[in-house]
Amino acid sequence: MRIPSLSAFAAALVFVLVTGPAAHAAVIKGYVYDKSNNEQLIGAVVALQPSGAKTSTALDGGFTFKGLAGGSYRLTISFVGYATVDTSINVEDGATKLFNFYLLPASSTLSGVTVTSYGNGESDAFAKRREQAANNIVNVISANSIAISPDITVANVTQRISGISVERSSSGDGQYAIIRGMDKRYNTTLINGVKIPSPDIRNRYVPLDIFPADLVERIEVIKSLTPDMEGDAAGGVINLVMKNAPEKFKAEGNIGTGYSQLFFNRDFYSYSKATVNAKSPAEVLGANAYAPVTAFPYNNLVTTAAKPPVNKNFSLTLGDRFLNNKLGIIFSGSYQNMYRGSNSNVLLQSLTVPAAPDDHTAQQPAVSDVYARQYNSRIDRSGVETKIDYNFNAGNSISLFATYLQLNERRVRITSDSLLGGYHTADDYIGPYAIYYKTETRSDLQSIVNATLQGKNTIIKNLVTDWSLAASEAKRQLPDIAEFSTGSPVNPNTSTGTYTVGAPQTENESREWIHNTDKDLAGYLNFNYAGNIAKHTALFRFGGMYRHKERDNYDNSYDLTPVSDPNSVYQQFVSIPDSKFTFVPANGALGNSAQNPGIYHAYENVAAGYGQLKYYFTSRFEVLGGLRVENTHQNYVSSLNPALPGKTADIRYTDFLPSVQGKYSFTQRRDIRFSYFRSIFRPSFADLIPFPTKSGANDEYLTEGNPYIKHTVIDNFDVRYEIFPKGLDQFMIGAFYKIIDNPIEYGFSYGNNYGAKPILSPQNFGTANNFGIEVVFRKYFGDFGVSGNYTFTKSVINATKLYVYLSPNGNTNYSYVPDRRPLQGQSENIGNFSLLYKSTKYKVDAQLALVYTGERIDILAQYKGFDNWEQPTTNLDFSAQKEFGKHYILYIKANNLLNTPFRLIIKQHNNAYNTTTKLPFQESADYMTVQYDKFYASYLIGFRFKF
Amino acid sequence: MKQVKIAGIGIVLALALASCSKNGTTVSNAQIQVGQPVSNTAPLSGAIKGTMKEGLTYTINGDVTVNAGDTLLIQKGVTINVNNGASFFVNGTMVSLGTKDAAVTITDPRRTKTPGTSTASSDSAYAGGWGGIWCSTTCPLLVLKWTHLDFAGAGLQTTPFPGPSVGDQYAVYFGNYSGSFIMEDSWIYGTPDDAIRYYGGNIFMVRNTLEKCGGTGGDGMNAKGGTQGIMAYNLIIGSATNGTKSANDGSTGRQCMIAMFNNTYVNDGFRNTGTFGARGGSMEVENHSRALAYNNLVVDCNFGLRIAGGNTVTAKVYLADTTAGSNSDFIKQTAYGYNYYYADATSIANQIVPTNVAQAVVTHPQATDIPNMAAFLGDSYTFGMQYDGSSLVGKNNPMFVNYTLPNMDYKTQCSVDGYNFHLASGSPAIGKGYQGFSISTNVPIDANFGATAPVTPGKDIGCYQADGSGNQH
Repeated sequence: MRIPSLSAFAAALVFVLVTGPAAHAAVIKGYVYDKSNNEQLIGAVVALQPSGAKTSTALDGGFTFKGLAGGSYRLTISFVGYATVDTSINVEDGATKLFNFYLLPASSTLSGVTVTSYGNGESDAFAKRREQAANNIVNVISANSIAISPDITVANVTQRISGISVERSSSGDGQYAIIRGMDKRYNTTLINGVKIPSPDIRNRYVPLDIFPADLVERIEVIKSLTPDMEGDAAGGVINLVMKNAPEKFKAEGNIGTGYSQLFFNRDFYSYSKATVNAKSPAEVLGANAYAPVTAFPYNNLVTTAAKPPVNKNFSLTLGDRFLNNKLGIIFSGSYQNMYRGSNSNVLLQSLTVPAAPDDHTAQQPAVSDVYARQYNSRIDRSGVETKIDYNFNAGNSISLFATYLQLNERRVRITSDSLLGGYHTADDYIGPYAIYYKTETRSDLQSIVNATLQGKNTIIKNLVTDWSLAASEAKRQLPDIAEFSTGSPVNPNTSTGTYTVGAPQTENESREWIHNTDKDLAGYLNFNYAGNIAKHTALFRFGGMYRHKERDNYDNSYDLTPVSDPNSVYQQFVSIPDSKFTFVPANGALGNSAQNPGIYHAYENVAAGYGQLKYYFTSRFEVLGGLRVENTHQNYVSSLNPALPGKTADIRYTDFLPSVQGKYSFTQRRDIRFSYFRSIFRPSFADLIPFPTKSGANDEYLTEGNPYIKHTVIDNFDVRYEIFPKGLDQFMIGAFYKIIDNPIEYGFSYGNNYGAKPILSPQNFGTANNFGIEVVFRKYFGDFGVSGNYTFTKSVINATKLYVYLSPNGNTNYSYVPDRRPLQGQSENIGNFSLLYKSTKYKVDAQLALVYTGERIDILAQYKGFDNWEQPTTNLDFSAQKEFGKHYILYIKANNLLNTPFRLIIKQHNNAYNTTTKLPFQESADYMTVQYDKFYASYLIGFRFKF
Repeated sequence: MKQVKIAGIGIVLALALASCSKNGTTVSNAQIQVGQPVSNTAPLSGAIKGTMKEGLTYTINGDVTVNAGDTLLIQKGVTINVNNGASFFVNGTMVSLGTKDAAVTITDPRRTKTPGTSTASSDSAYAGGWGGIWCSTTCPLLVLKWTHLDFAGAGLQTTPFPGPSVGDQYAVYFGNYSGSFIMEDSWIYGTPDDAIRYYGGNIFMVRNTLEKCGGTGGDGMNAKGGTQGIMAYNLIIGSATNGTKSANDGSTGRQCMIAMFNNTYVNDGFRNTGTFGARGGSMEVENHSRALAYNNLVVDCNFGLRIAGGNTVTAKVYLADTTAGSNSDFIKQTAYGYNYYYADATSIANQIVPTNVAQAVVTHPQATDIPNMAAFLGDSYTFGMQYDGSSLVGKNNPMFVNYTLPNMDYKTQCSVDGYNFHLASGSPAIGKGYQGFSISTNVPIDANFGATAPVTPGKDIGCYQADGSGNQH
């Protein structure tokens, strides 16, 4: 055995382990590792001279050159972020030689969660190390994983992380993350560690589909909070780390195109965006002026149906370092133009249902309408970001990050609404007695602009400060949500079982304008001191933050009544332009902006301070603990009638949030973590303001805020056992338990509201308990790999629900009975499973990804047993890419291959399944299907380049 | 000159009426006052309490609110002109004590009453004037005696309390399960939607006149979940849909139970566009509510008494409660009969027992009804099936004092105007009333703060009794 000579600057160690049996041609094999942690490195470039052969290491870190003649070769191994190995080796004819190479990181180090300002933070290996080295419980998904995944938005990527499920929009794209069964409201979104305001009209959290995945370096999901983190995340924090300047010139781009299967099957409806009035008549004419009917032009209600153009997807990233690597600049831009849609079927649930015949039989749900809906969305998503960093010296650096993101959705919703008669004639006619045809067009224009200045300074030896200053503005505009309707009477034909639909009449038309602006100003300052206690390393960190947030909201809606034809109570429908409207009563021309609580100004000031200590008891056992104090001041002034409660509110509270995180390493590759922390949830402005609106996520019921609601306090316990066997292989098993005091969920308010229109409002539901188990694994076998995760979550809320039954003497009894249920939106079982293929030889990557989301409560019902459960879903997505030469990659992505439907059911015996009263899309006599949506597959093909 | 003539005729008529009224003693009630007088020197808005003094004219320019615990008392002869679509929001008590000689009037001064032909698009009575009276869940008592509510239903510009929605347009909304709402000898003229919407409460709706209620949809008196009480001796003319209705919608505490008796319904149910004219047109009992319906006179209304059926699963409107309850219930079991129908068109006669036009119907044809629909339809009749009622057209003329039948203006004559719907002597409706049922009074009996006296079934069909009792208008 001989040891090959090493080049002087590459401090790499190479061992020849095995000399293989004799063969006709020589073979050079080997594995490439990170010297610092003995992990295999994937994708390192291995070049052989003089043959000129080139390869890169496979998923297990290995490479092979075959068919070599015996002799002396020069081998160079390079990998971004590592010092290059350059070495000479001899191999004899017919022999196989196996080498292990250990590369030294060029510059990047990991200390705590601080990551150096540059380095290849986009790799899977980096992501894994980030998970391993973090103080707390973190899952990371890298840009490389995103690039080869089937996903083009951040939301769709996050569902591949353990413990995360997503809530989808009407176009089928993931929109909000549910982490460990905790509703979206309990999770926060950060950009580069800084909180950004949401353009969403009702919620504090940001819809993740606003972020193009191409702009992101990596996504971190942080499931346990250290005292230096803001305390308002109980489920978790999604931190989007945007792209950093590379260490040398980089140009990357992506051009893609695609189509939705849905529009092979049917046309796409669109309207002209130029015809939309940006402001409501009350904003143009003044709040006290009666708007003329001409202020509501019909043009944006005229839709055209045609095959949509192909989807388009572009991105470009340019980055380099200058001035001796001190100055780094990166610029990224991305634009997506997509045509999405879905076909939806809904049974509209009656708000009043018959009493149960006795006190031990369940009530039966009743429905009044069948909706068949077609959603058509043109989505324009664009984003630019730039990051400039300057490293003065090893201890001092500064960076400026700026981003602008825009998501414009222009949606046409076509509804066919059959009003059910509920009778059947002797010839068994079952059907509607009126059919309404409705066209809604709406523009949803959202944007976020953020600028963040961050720095790191060494004050004296061992005392380092890092700080951030962030300014953000989020806007959302819904100019003119317009709906035009016609209605036709339906007359059953005697003895044929058929019916005749009469001539359509023009029905009421609705128009609504909503817009809001959120502004955030925040400053963060942290001090780090590295010292010793009892000869063991002790890292002190202390600091604070302050954020001022304000929101302005505007809402105004109008209801127009058709003018009756002469000698008729109807207006015969001719066309949308020919339809004539008026206001009944006349003051409807004012809209509803007077004393509308939806017009409000709100602000929130959060001040926090913390201190924490990370202490290394031994080289294997480290503990991080500390205390955070957060003070919250919320205030709003709405336009509500001052004679009523809740026009204004001023809310202040202080929370003490302890946190302890520990890690014990059995070996370098095996450790156990535990954590306890207390966190809070602050109600959003819309949770507080008593503004009844239909603009929330729920289209069927009015939703309003509740200024009396208490903020949620959550005690979180976590334990996790981790094994990092080799390469990217990984195994983690963890358990968590959360005690949630005053959880906030949207339920029907009753007690002092006996109106026929139940209102959904946020309420505190006592104390909830949530526990679960998580398993994550990843294993590679040469070119193949499997990865997956599974989360079991069990949560319990004890609340009450209305139950109406007849007593034996015929009296109707209204009782509130105990109702034990999981948290809204929480699935007991969530799993991901991916099959991965990576051929270094053919330069092909492929991934088949499956996501399973178990059943969960979507809508909380007023009556016992009427909660709407989302049926389990299994989504299958596929992606593949092939590299051509050094610079080009061709990729395909196919989503929703199984055409997985979104289904809501009520778990009661389904009388609508009986043969004489069977309604459409019913699946079983055991449950009633009240919603059945299909999104169909979508396809994307494109190519990427990188220089 | 013309006006003088009309006034002269009026005086003669009044003398004539006075001379033929029954003998008896009438003692005036003590004129009471609560709190401080309300000043009429400046237009009102905001919080209001105390007493509006006899005979004064007040102006309201913005929403007024009676706070919880406060009382607003309106003495006789007060006129309130309400501008800007303003509303009364009542969280406390409101009592309006007009008298036969000095009624209270709450109106929108922009509007005037138009006699004769009335359609939804041509008559401003349906456009909404002032905002109406909105009683919240904390309002213990609303009393309206001899009070005109003219041209209400402007449409809410703001949600005053949980329950109603922006745009709701009623003359009166009552929302307190445990409150009482007494309306006697009063008038409602012109509303865009229901004249009165009740979400709970004990109600006593007696001897009122409702005209032109509902533009292109809407009922006269529309009781929802939790409402229990009496609708009796009312004249309801030209209502868009039903005159009186009970439905248990939205109930979270008790069942809706309404006794509808001795009402006169004329020309109701012809302006409903909502479900293509198929939502009823006189009396309706639906959605698990109970009702009594006796001694009602139904003339040229789109539908007769509809007891809603339905399969309880696939219907907007489902089964009325026809099961038997207990003796302690306000109404033990839904029951009806002795109702009197007159039709001027085959389409009306075909719906005296309503058929399945829009929803299942389980109205049992009654032998006690006039005409005898049980005999007319025969034993083989199945609920909801169509039948040929053409032979009933023009039969059983109830003989009004001054409203000639047949009258083919039944779709557009929506107000009383100069007509007189008293029964002429010799009317076949006289003496046909059923007095064998009793109904308890579930509101306080008090000259000022309650119902003046309990009410009992009448001897004659309809709201006007030959002995001068019943409706006093």
